[in-house]
Amino acid sequence: MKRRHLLHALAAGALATPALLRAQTSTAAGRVVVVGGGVGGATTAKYLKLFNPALQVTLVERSPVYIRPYGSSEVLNGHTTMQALEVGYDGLRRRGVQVLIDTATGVDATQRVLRTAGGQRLPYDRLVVSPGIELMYDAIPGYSAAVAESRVPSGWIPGAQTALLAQQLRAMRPGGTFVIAAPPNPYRCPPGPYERAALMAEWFARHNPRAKVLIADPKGGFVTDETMMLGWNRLYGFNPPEDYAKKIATKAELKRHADGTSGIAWLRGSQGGRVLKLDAKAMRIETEAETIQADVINLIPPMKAGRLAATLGLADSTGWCPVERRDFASTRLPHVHVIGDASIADAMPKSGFSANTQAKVVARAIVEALAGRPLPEPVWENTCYALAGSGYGLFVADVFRLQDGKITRTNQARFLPLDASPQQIRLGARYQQAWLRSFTEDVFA
Amino acid sequence: MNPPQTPSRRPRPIWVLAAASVLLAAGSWLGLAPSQAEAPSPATPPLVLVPAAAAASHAAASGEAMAHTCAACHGTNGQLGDEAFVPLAGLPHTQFVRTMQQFRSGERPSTLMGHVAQGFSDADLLAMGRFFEAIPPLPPPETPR
Repeated sequence: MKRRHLLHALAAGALATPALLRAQTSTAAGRVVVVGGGVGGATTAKYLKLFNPALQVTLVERSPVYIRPYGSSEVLNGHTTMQALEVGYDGLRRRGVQVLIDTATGVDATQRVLRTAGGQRLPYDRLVVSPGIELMYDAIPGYSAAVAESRVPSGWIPGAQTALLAQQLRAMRPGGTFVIAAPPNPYRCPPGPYERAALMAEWFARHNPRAKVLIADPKGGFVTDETMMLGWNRLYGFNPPEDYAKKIATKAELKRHADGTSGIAWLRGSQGGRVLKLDAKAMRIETEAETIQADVINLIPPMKAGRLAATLGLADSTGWCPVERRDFASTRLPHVHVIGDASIADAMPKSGFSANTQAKVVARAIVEALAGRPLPEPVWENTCYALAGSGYGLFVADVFRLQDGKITRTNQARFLPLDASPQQIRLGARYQQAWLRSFTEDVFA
Repeated sequence: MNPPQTPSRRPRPIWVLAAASVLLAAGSWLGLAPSQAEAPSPATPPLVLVPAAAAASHAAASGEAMAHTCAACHGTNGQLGDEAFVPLAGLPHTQFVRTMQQFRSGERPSTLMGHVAQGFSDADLLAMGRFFEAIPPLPPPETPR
């Protein structure tokens, strides 16, 4: 069945069920308000209706169109377009979710009412908040939202900054230097900065062969680092640092490239990779080790929970939102759940896949709780595919359970094996592309 | 065509089954009773469930809850249209369990399913397999691609 036929069939099926429409006007089964129409919020709304069509589910989201962050670095190398990142909310509407384009401004936790900028007062039995991240531009001297929007984009929440960065990279002078300043932990999409470096190294090799990518990093390592560096070694002339080279060489043969020929350099934390200051006018970035003259800078600042979390009083002094692990109930406000990047979730990374499985656990917990049944045993998963090149896929894959009150990984192997076959590596890249579509469908359709 | 829906049966029987399986696995029980595992065809060896090494310092989750962790790639409720992954809806549970066991042991090569399979015990796999088996698959594509 062609994809659009499937979607039409889904729509027809949902609309042809009068009971489902009637149920929306009844509040007997319960009212759930979901704030934030990203991966976490959209998945919650969809699965609440799947689990109990009689629930009244309202999704509050400030933008009528979602720009998906996952896969958005592929705009930079021209592999996809800004338009292709856009996802609407009609799929959720067809499932009976009431989508309200509005901004949440406050909550009355005693009365259980959410207030919006549009003057709405939405009563709820349960409130689910999926606020995403806020980029802390001001944490880096010389950086600000205004600078990010005009000259040194972060592109970590996709939108105009992503388009600006793509334009800058395409126009970069021959042989120029592209600096990616990676953020400190914890942050959204742990393999993301390194995948972005790889995709641009690949693009430069074809279109600007003497150009270089330099990653300035406050950290000493990153998730998928060994497999990513092996890919960089095979594709872009990268020589991994000695400690990594030793580990990788136990399973795979590393090429030894001549110094100065690599398309990627990684200035790690122990080498002074932490960014101290930005001079956006001069396009200079000062790290602990050196001041780098760049042609294009992608500065990804530290992050905290999205502004909504602070507005509603859900974040603690770390900037993130503490929750009960079993059902992601806020420990700060009753009858409120916080999911996705904003939540403190132990071993789970801040990823769309994590938010998606957290949403399903929360949706089920809410349905059971409203029906007076006990909370079910949770299980979560995360898979992050990442590309070391457009035909070179790698990943981290984890299954999580609740153990001793913490979210704990239960599988042992997590990464693409260092001795993976060329077929496995190619399949990884193909699955990464397929995942972008199947995931969007599971969240929004 | 109906929209994909959670099967109408309550999740509780699955928990009970999963919990019972864990208890049985902890004892001397080695295999699923043939009556439970469908009569195997001559070409199909009987489904043998042994306690996985990783099984269970954690409590049993329902087959449904575990199955929804597959949906990001394999489709909501395992129903997937035109995509590169295997749709799981309607798959005989014996096939689901055996395939996942083979991924887990490395007998069958994979990209990442072997890693994911390590997170599930045999009882988990059986509970998930029964969930997916009960869901109707989407009709096949109208035109070959």
